[in-house]
Amino acid sequence: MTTPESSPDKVARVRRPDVVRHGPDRSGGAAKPVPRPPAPSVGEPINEAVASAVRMGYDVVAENIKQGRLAAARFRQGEYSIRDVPGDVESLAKRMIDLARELSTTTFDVVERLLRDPGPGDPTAKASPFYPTPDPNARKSPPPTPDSPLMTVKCQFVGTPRAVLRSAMFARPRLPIFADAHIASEPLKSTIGARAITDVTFSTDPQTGVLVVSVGLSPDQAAGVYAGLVTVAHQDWPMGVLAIEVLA
Amino acid sequence: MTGAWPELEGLAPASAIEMSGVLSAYGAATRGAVQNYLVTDTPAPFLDDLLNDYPARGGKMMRPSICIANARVFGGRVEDAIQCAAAVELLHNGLLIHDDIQDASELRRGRPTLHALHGVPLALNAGDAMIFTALIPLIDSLRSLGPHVAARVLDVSMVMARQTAEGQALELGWRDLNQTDLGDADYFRMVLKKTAWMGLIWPAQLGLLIGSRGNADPQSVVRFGFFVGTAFQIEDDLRNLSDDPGYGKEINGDLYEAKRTLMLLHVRRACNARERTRLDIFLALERDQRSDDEVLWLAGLMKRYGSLAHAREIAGAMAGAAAHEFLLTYGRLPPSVDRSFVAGLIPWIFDRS
Repeated sequence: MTTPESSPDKVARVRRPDVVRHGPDRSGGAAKPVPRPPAPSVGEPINEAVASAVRMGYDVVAENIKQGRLAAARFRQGEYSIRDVPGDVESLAKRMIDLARELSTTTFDVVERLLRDPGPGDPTAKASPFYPTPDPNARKSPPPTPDSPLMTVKCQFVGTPRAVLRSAMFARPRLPIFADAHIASEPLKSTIGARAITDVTFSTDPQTGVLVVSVGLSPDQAAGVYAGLVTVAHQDWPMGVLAIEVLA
Repeated sequence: MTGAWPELEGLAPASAIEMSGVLSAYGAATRGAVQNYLVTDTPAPFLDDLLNDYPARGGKMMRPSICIANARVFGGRVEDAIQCAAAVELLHNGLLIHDDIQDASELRRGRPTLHALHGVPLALNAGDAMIFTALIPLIDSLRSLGPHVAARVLDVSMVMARQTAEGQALELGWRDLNQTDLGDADYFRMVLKKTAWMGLIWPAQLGLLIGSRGNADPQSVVRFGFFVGTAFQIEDDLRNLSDDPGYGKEINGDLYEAKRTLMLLHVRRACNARERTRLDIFLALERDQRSDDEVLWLAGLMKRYGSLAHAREIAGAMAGAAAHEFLLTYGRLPPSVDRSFVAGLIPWIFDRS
């Protein structure tokens, strides 16, 4: 893989600058940008050229993911929740058709197929899974930041006394997980020194795909606010904080 | 095969025979679903025969199998993913028709390309129809997936459509403008968009979303898909220059098309000034002006300067990075035939026949 001695292009060996980092950039572009390594020159030993190619590959992906996240942040103003989905699916489907048109020139019966589903305002919409009845009192989900999309979470309480969810802002895990096997909560500790709640389990609602937190309460649980850190296996940072209030 | 990729030790990547078995099973299921969308009660003249042509010629069925296997790896069933798998295969075939026109290719899967048989206008129309037909199983699948998963499936599909169009535009633009000052990073960027996204990343994302019921992060398979896709593309490019370029492909077809491959970028950097001038003249010609002698000269030049060995080394390194990414993304998931299939894609890139 070296330039032949006879080549008029033969130049002195180029010394590569010291590497800026020693591992792949997994920040999706959120971290400080690093300069791209130069293309491997012909005079380099092959293993150095190959290592450079792999680094280059990671940079290409990181750059692409960053661009995708910026585009997604511009496109999507709020995180998906079940209540947002009807409008989102409709607008996504329309964008899909527009993209297909950009790639193509002939229209087909796809639009008809899409239109066969009633819109949210249609009186028959209740029959369609795409358009569940909107709750006028529903709180809009908070807008996500591009690098920490939030998850929709449902909380259910088992036993007495009554309790309500106060806060469950969970960041989506970066790697695929199974909720029951990989998500755990620290004991929910009381702000007034009452006995902590340890029966906290996680699962996935098979109908909606929403993360479900189940909190088991015992009758003698003292009223008050309880909170605990929620962690996910093999991830260095917590998913978020679960806070509930046990009512008197 | 795990000796080459220590990351795969203990993860039981499927052997070539096992890969073939999974591809055959999931491929047959997908073909059945595809046929449901291609067969009509009232066949349209000059269209339906053309639509059925490429799917009937066979193919590896790698893309739909990746979709189904990922769905199962993440907890789903074959029947949950079959419509999305059909969408993947239909879209792939539609894009092949367009690619063949844009590349002026003569052969596809052992037979003349669709535009060579029927002319460009009819082939183009069939490609358009196939792309739109691909949307139908995708939309059908949304009904059964539920709104949460449906929104995310459409989301990743839109990203794929855009990435694929950008990748194709890059490659065509480089050739049309005879751009020669390209580096390896430019090649990787083009492969990420043109090959990896539609061929590996999107099918895996669809499967992941279906299997996990929308809970797993589709971003988590991007790096694995990119590295497998890049190794796959480099190996494809190398095979094109060999005596056995693959089923139904022209020997040295990429040289006739002046395709910007790693080998071409390398040889242009490596050769001397006189050779570079001759190479640039060759690249500036139209496809039908490139003579057999000049193509053979360029193939020889690549061998002489070690461009093939260089590309082979990089393909191996990309496969190594893919093994590393596999471990990160799939390593903690329960062992299964499907996980072995996904792991087995890495050695299969080089072993496939």
